[in-house]
Amino acid sequence: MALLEVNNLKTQFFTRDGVVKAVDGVSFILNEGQTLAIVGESGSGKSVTALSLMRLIQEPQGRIVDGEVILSGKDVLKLNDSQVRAMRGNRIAMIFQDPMTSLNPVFRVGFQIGEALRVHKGMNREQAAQRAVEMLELVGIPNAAHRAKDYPHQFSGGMRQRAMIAMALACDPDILIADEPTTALDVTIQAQILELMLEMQQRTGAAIIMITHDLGVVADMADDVMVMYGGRQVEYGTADHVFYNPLHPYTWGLLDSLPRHDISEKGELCPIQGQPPSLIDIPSGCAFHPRCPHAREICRTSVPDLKEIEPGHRSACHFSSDPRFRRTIAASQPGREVR
Amino acid sequence: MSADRHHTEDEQDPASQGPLDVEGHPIRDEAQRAPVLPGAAEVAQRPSRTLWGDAFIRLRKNKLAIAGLVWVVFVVVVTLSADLWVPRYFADPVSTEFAGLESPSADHPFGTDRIGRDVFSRVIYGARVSLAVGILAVSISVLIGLIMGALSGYYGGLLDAFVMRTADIFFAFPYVLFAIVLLAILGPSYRNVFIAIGILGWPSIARVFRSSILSVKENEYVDAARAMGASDLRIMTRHILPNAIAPIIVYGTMSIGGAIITEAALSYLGMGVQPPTPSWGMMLSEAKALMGPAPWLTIYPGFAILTTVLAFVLMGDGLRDALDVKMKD
Amino acid sequence: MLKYVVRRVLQMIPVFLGVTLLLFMLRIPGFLPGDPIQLIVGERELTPALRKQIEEKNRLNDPLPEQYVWYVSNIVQGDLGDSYQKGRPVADILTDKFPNSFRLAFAAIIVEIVIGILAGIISAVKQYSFWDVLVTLSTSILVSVPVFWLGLLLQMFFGIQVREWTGGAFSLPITGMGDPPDLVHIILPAITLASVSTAYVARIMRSQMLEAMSQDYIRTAKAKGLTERVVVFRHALKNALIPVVTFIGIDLGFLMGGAILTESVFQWPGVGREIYLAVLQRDWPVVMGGVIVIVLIVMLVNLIVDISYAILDPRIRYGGAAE
Repeated sequence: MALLEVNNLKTQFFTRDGVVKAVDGVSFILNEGQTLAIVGESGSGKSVTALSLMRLIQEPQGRIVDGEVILSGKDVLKLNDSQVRAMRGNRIAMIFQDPMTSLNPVFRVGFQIGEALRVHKGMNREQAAQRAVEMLELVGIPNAAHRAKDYPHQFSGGMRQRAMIAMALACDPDILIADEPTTALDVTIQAQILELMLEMQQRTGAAIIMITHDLGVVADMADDVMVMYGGRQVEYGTADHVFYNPLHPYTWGLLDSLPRHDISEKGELCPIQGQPPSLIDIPSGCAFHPRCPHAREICRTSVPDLKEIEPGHRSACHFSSDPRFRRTIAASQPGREVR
Repeated sequence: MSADRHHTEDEQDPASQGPLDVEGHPIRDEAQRAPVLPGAAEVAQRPSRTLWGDAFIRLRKNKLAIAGLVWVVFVVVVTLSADLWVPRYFADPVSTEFAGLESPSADHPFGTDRIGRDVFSRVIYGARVSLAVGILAVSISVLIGLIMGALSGYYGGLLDAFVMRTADIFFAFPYVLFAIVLLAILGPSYRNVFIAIGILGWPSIARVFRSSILSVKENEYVDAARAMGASDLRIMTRHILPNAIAPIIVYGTMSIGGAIITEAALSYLGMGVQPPTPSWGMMLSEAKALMGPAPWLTIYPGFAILTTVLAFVLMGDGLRDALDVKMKD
Repeated sequence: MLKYVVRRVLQMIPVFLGVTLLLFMLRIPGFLPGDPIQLIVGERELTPALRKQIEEKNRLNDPLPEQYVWYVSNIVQGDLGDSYQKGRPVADILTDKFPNSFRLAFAAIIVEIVIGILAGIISAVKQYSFWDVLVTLSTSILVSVPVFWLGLLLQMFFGIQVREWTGGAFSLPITGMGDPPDLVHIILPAITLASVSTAYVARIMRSQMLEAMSQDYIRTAKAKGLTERVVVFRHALKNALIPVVTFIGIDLGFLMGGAILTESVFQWPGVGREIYLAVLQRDWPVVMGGVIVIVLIVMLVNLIVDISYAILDPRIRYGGAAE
């Protein structure tokens, strides 16, 4: 049995201007110790997916309207409030994008790490403080005993993110969700944090859901990749599948828009034309059709299903199963090999 | 980075003759690489509107603010036109015989005071004083405050320090006490009241304006303007002012309410408007001794103050919400 | 931290001098209504010898700068001159009256804290509910109410009407402090004095709570599995309370010296009322002395508030980031 099985998750927000379909039918599986990367632009629904897993969607503005989130056999969406709280920070933990604003400025770091321990593991203040210091050491913070008594603003950006990782891993969760953990950090620190996460994963055996828009991060860390666009899944498979045999035009666009130093000629950047769609007014049919260089009439009229094209590799495009189409895509992007 | 996972043997690439479109035809130019279906790239982009346009629309939707505005307009109209329709002139006693206190009746909706004057008329006429003092005083404050705040915020340095220290001196005094002392010096009168209130109000306006300026000054478009050679005054009026003015409008509107209350307080203490000009505050001081036998003398003038000030407060609240750039529709 | 305190204290000095200078200018003949010497003398006859004596005692013939220095040094030593009307030293009069004002101010602060903070928290936690609407509306109204009118209404209702209804059995006193001072007398004045400030406290508390609860760290706290109560009352409240506490602190300073309207309505024997009566009687030394002391108290309280703000907010107490 998979550690986490998500089926047809749908989360919506209700605003004055209309219903925002932030997550519109997402399904995936996460096994123990594995890493799943959720990739997409801002507004693609990746963060909302993660928040939905932890039932952190604020009612009544937002609601999970459909689907199942089955954690070790139990549907999280059907749990009562105290069961959900017992799960948060304990079986699933989350770290967020901006460590400065995600830590409470008026409480000491050690205290904030210890809070989850006292709630979930029944530790008293001294035990929790002790363990907090251990966690800080584990994530590589020097002079941890002193640092635990500091306040967040006294930490540097990279250290704060380490502290957040320590806080998330304190109760030894089965799943760690990381929402763009390196986006707010300097490039040099980014690599350190990712390394730290891999090391922690080795040590604790936790599964990781990594949310990012940075394909470089994905390549380093992910076993499986899920590409999201307009609140929907457009491609889902192993990292090898998605990188070496991308099936969806959006994925091609993402890969192609990476600046590359290995093409000697031209060297132009190829961004995807247009803007991300408004989630209130999603384009008809395939959400990507207004920006897809290969769109046809059917793309406008009919929503493509997520179909399995090869074993373990799915794509939501009307033409993914057409070998001619794939070669054509390959042909139109210079420098890309086709398997 | 992982991009180097992709192989780049161009020679093996069947597209070496150039990119192809869906049908397999070579794409001739850039235009064809764009999305095929017409008009699709602009899907669901919001039209941008101006700050003031946005604000006006939001303001219109705010029922409380509109109610406040309506009430203020109503009061203004009623009081300015009072001579035309008011039953009794505010200074006339009812008749030659000893009239004295009368409770509210059809003849005198708000009753009469000790010497027989119609309270209703006095309340109506009292609005003139309150509104005039409120608006004039705030105008003075805003005028001085804008200048001082501009000098302080824009030029900084010693000038800033001097202006801010002066403001601190004003802030150190409790408000009403300062007003009383000021009026003791100037002599209580209608004109001195709004001068005094106006003088007391400039530091707050200056501070608000100064901080607006400081935050706007940081913005790049000011540097851009200066790089294009705009003079200080031009930068101030064309670039900084329109953005910094919004908090002033909000604060000014709410200050009118504050000024009205202050005028009433000063008149209550006898330091404000002098008889026979009717002022709501003064009416309340006359009412105090007769609280038991004639409660209407206390209730109606005070209620007039409350509703008028509330109207300005609601308008100010509405303006603040409408002009708040951080709020998204 | 120490540097911060020293800097703030130094900033106070020019303000103090500015205030004294302003007040000093009032002594200049012709500025204030009435001949000061005549006022001192009162009913007695003003002989040239007496005039000379008074002028010398008050250094009225010295060059202005010297007068000013003498004036300020007196103040610093606690000599505020003598009251024209009563002949007593101003400092003594003030010492009599200040405790009464403090009493009233503290009572008002308690009302502010208890009602204001609670109302603000409830309003924010149950946003858009009946409570929230009630609090928002009533604060808007309270802010628009003239304090002295509220006092009059309370007097009218609790002092007179209620007595009529209960046939004289129950009423609240509406004048003075009571002899000896008791709790019953302070109720109505305290409520009156606190009313507008309570409205502000509730509003500030509400908006600070709303802002705190929309911060990222609240999301983190929830993600750790903490209960709603802990999230609100530990994580959000501690952040939201800081600006509120500073507001209350500053308010305390002003309440101590500026309660003149309430004191007037309830005939509470405080400093504010004393100064007001002195103005009416042209007793300038009392006015000037009283104002200076009030200003000093306000500045002192503001200083304490600033320092406590620095203590409460760890971001200011401890310096910046270390690598």
